[in-house]
Amino acid sequence: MINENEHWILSYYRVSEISGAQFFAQLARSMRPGAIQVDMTQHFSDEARHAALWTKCITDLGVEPLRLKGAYQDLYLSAAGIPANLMEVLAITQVFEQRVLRQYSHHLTLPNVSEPIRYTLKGIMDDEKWHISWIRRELHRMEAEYGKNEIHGTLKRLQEADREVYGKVTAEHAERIAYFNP
Amino acid sequence: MTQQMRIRQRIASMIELPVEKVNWHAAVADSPINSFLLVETIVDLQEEFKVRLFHEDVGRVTCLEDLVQLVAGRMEHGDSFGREPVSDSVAHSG
Repeated sequence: MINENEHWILSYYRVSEISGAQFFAQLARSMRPGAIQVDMTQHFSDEARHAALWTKCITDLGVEPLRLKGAYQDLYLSAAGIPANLMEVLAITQVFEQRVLRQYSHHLTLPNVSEPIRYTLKGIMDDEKWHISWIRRELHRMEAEYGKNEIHGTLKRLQEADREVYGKVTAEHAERIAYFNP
Repeated sequence: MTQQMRIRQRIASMIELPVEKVNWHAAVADSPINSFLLVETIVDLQEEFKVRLFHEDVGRVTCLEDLVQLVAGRMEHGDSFGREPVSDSVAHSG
């Protein structure tokens, strides 16, 4: 059994994973052959699997996933602007995945987290660590092309956008998010 | 075929519309291209035409024709960057 806030939050996680899968599916489709194509295709596959894990988790808890409009990523693009090139795509993904990892880590620290949720969070977090790792590797490799300053400046801009988005989401859903700050 | 025509054909294929059916001057927000597809298209154009676009470039794109002209302009410069690649010892301008 889960309470209403938990039901909403898990459904929000699910929608965000679906949105991530859609985003990477489109990009993986356009990538030229090479290491990024391989890793981005795996990344897309992982996000889709995460959406399936959340779907199973929610139904195992005895409820149906809520149909929520809008995902976290939609707010990202509004706040940060459309990524202008592949480096910016990876940078925005890096920032987003770090946010997800922080959120999921925090969720694990809450009291009385049920076993299905705990299992799902841990499983997804293992993948998210790899996501951050491969993107970090590629951003480092791209320094030769874009320059370290350009990449670091982009990451900084996107981190500011992330803070803005997170602030908006927590303000908009304050009652539900209060669940996270017992 | 002009560079602009090649770029338009590429964009049209990305959004799965005949070139003549695309409203090149409609606001991007009003076009049949969602934000994810727009990102894919922008990345694809750079890979296809061997150019590089940056944040300030894309920020000025209000319609698909802007994107066509932006990419065509970069191609005409004859190198893959609209500006010099930045080294760590060189401060950004602009």
